[in-house]
Amino acid sequence: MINQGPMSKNPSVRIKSFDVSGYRSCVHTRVDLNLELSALIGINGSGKTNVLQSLLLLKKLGNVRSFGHGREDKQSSVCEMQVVFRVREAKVSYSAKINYVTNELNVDEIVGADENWDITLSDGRVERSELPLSVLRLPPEKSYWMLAEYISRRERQKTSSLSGEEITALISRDTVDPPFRPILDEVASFVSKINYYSAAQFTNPSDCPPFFEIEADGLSPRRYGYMRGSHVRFLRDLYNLKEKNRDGFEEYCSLVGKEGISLVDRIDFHSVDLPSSDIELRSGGQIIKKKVRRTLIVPHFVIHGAKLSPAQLSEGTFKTLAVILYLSTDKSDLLLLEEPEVCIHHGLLSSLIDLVKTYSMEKQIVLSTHSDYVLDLLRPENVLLVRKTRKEGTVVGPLTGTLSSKNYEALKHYLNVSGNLGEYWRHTGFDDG
Amino acid sequence: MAKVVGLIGEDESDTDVLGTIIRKASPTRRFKFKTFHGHGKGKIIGKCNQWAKNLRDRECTALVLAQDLDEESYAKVVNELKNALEPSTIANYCIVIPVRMIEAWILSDAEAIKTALNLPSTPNDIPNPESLMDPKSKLRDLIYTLSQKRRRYMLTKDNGRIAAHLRIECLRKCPSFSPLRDFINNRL
Repeated sequence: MINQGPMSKNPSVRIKSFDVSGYRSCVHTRVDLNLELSALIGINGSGKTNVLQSLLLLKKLGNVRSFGHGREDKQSSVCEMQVVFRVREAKVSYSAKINYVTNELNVDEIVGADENWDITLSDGRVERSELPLSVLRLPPEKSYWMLAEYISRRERQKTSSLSGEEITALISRDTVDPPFRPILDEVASFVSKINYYSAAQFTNPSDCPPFFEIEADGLSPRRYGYMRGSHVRFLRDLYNLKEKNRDGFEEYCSLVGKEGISLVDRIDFHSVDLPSSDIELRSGGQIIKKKVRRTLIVPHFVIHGAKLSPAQLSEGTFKTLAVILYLSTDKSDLLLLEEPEVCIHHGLLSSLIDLVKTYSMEKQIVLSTHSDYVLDLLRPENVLLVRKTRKEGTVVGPLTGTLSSKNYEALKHYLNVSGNLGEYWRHTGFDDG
Repeated sequence: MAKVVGLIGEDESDTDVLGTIIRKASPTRRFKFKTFHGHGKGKIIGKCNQWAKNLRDRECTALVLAQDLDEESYAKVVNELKNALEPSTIANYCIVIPVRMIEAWILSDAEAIKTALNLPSTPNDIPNPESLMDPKSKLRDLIYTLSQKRRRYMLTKDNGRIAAHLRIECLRKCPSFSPLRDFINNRL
C-alpha cells in the first residue's frame, strides 16, 4: 500500500515488475518489485548489480538522440526489456529491444532501440504506441520535429518516399498527442529521474580535491578531469542544493547535523573569486579576450568543532553524507542503492535504514545488500532473493514466494520465537533445498 | 551508589526511552543502565534469558524487558516473555508491552514533541495514543507537517530526544505504562 500521508509526494508511477533478457547475467530474468522498498540479497556474482544496471538502461533510453534499433556490430549487444508500470489506475507495459555497447568504464551506452507500449486504461481499453522514450522526454514543440524525423524514417523503410503532407498526416495519425500521452509522459518523467547510488563510488575520500571551481553562471563546474569523480559530484550537488534550494539544504542539515544523526555540526562553503580571463579564437584568426568570472568553492565540514576538508572525512562519514543527500534531496522517483551498508557503523546504519524506509514512502527504492544487519531491520516481504544458475542466469524471486509454504511458516515461527531475519539468512541461506 | 538496571528492548531508541523514563520517574535516585537490543520479537524471546544472565553478570539487580505489542494479544506476548525468562536469573524484573509500539508513549505529550524537536507549533493533544493504529506513522507525519517539511522524524534519535522532555503524568494516557510505573515506584 502506498502511503498517501503528508509525506507522500502522491507517487503516481511505480514499477511493478520487469523482465530482462540477454543483458549480462540476466539470461531471462523477471523481477517483481515492491512499490515501496525492495532489498536484493544474494551471493557475490549472482547478478544483483546487473539487475540494478538493467533498470538504469531505462533512463539511458530517454537520452538517445537517434531513433530505431541502430546498427548491430561486433561491439554491440542486444537485450530485451519489458517493464510493467502502475500509473495510477492504468497499467502500462513498455517493451524494448535495446542495442547497446559497454564502454571501457563498464558503462552501458545505448546505440538504438525499438520501443513499444501497451496501455491498459482504467476502463479496460488497451491502447498501443511506438513513441520512443526519448521523444516523450522532450517538450512538445521539440518532440514534434523529432517525431517527424522518426516517423518519416520508419515509413521510408516501408515505402520508397513520402511527401511532406504525407509525413504531417502520419504524425497526426501517429499520435503526437494521443489521449493517453499524459500517461506516457508521466512514465518518461519517472524513468528520466531514476537515480543510482553505490557505496563504491565514494571509496577513499582522500582522493577528493579540497575545492571545486564554478563559472559565471554560478553553478556549472569547470570540467577538469579530476572533477568528474563522484566525490566532487557530491560536493557540487551539495553546493547547488544550498544555493538553489534553501529548504532542501536545511532539511539535509537537520538529518546529518545535531538534530539528526549528529554526523557533522555544520557544513560551510567558502568562496574565493579568482581574477580570470578566457581567450576565444574566432574563424579568420580573430582573438577575443573575454572576462569570465571564476570562483573557487572550498567546502568544510565542521565535526566536534574541528573544521575538516572533504578529504579528511572518514570513508564511512563521507559515504553516509552522500547517501543521505541522494536519499533526501534528489528528485528521483526510483532510487537504486547498492550496498548502502559499506563502511558504516551499525548504530549509524540503523538510522540510515530508518531513513531509507521513510523515503521509500515517497520514492520507490531498490537496494542491494550483503548485510544481515540490514536484513534484521527489514520485513520478509521486502526481500528479493537473487541467485544464478548456469542455465537460467540470474533468477530473482520474492523471499515470501520462493520458500515453500512449510519453510515460510518455519521462518515466521523463527521470527516469532527465536531470532531475526538477518540471522536466519546467515545460518540457513534461505535454502529451500 | 547507582542502581544498575538491565534493559532489553527492540532497539537502541527503545532502551533510550525506557532509561530516560525511569530516571524521570524517580529523579532523586541514580541509575546506570546496561542494554541488549533484539531487533525483533523472535530474537528477544530466543535470547532474553541468556541476555538476562549476562546482565546479572554485569551487576544488574533489576531488569526491564520491553517488547512492542504490534498486532498481537497482550496476554499472549506477556506469557511468551514470562516463559522465556527464568525468574531466578534476575528475580526483580518487569515486562513492559507498549500497546502497538513505544511511539504511542512518545505521542502522549504533545508539548514534549514540540520542545524536543524545536517545532514552531504544538501538535494537537492525543487523548488516547494507544488507540492509534500506527503511532510511528502518526509521529512521522506530524513532525514533517509541523516543521513545515523541514524536519524528518528519525526514530533512532528522536524518540530519546522527546523522552527527555516527556512529562511522566502524560503517560497516564497509556495504560501499558502502568506495569513500568508500578515497578519503578515499588520494586526499583
